[in-house]
Amino acid sequence: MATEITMPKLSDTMTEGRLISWKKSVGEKVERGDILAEVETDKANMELESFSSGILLETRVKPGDMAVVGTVIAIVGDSGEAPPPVQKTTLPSAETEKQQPTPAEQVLKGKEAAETEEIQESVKPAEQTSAVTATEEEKASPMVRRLAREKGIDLKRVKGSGPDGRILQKDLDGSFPKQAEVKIENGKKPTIEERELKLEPPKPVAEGEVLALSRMRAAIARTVSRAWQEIPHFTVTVSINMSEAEEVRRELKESGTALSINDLIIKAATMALVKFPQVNNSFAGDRIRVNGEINIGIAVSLEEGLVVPVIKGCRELSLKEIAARSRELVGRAKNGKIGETELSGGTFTISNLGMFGIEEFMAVIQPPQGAILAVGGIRDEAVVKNGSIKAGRVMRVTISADHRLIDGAYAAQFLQELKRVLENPVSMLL
Amino acid sequence: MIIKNLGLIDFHEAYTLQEWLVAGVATGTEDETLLLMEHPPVFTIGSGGQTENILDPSITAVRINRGGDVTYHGPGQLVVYPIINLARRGKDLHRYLRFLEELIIRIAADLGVAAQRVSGMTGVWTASPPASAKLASIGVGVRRWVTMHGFALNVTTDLSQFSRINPCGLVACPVTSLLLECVGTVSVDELKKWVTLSFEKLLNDLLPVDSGGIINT
Repeated sequence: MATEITMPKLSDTMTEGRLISWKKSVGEKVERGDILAEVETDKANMELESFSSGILLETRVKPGDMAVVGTVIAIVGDSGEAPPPVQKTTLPSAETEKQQPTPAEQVLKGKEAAETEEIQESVKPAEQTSAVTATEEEKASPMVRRLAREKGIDLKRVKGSGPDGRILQKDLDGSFPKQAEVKIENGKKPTIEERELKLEPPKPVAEGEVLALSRMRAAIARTVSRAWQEIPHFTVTVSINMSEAEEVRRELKESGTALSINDLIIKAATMALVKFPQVNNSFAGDRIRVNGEINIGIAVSLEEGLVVPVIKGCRELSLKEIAARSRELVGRAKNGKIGETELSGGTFTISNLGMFGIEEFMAVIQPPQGAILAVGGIRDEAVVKNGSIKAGRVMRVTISADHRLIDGAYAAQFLQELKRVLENPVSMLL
Repeated sequence: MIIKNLGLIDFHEAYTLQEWLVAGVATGTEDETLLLMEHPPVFTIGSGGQTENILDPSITAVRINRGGDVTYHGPGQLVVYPIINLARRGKDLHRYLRFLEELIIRIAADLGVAAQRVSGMTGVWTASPPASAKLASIGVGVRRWVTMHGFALNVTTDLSQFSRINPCGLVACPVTSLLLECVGTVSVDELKKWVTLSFEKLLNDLLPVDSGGIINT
């Protein structure tokens, strides 16, 4: 009788664990009580004991990979026994059986939360092949099945050269190209989010390749999942004429003070937050935390994800000081030289995708903050002023607000003030 | 519960002792035990740790069966290895980690040092911005629900050693000690007393022995 070894639940709050290492290899004899693997959750490692004896027939998760609690990670059974098909995996609850993701999907679940559609699509063929390769229709050893799964090869399409058409390892060579690779090559253009996260063109992800979440991806996935599940977001958008702000920026530059449009937005947001302080509040379960300081986070995209360095004490900083601090923090964030303390303590966040020619977008709030400002690019637009049409430099900003803290009218007034400041930028210099 | 002060003890020697105690606690021949010590300088790395986090190539880190990444132990740092049977205390690893953090936070508070958790980063951190830094590192190994390894609290540790690694896998992670954070003097021996006084009570409060379980006190 084959026994399925699952990712153990080591805490009520554990949803997935990382397989650190296998202590037995496929084909090795296992005695009841032997340590099969080491599994990590948070900063605690657990040695996973086998509760049955036999041969380790198959391992389904590679060292370093995350697996959802309850996922089958290995099979222990009698020698010669074929591992059971993946589809027949016994699941914790019968009623959820149909909705349960396949192991390939489960391993990737955390990743899906933060990655774009293209990446998700590319893993779908993998789940099909992993299901197919595990059926007992084609004769192949567990080793060959595993190799086929890793390479993304459908065993149904491989002609076996062994006895009774048994598929041997050598039969896998020169097998079919991976669907996903083809797909990505002729594939769609990367989405905006993907370009935000990866400034380099995305590397093709091979079909069937299961990527471990990097620490950064895991942190992003955790944060945005929590935000999206818990926070009732609503958004409000306003158009701002940036002609004057651009003029001020030019003048300051000529007088030797280099600053970016984003620095002006940080300063303007600070001034609007002073007037509408509820936007700066944090949600703390059954109470509201009133933040005395205005600490503004700036989303910075990196190749492997994004970080949000925080400019602390913005209320006390001049425009020039904000520009200097921002340049320093963003520079260090891009070089990976930023400490945890500089990434924490934010009370409001600004995400600017203007450099990608984005008109407007909606950002996800970073808990426990109450709001995030999504900034689009400045475009030439026809603006009607006093009955005549003039060329204007228009930028759209969208605030995502936590409705538990902030109501629509309040968010609108905040944007109105932000617009007023940016359209009358001299107030920022005072 | 048995509490043992091992003084200054070699990492490997303490490791052997832990293994022996874990086996005994799992089978019920040994009582739950709290080991308090200091190690001569040594770098250790969790089984899932990344060797890239060791910045100084002359360091050989001992790879051990705990969670977390690379860390430094040395004189002036209180190392605490609780050998606790979680099988009868709710079988919840995260709760155990939160308990260790709570213990350290309370002891730091008794010394007038405000310390806190940072969500998603197990360990104990000082609270006062802008200089929030890591005060204690946590890394636990569990076999048959019996814990080994535990936490390392910087009391008067030589913090320069941490610049040779990315502590706990965090780039440029600031590290601090009680000596730097508190007013007055502190010593590892004094901290051992604090831990001895509060460990068992807090353990029983936060991770009580299941009803029907046998209480080995």
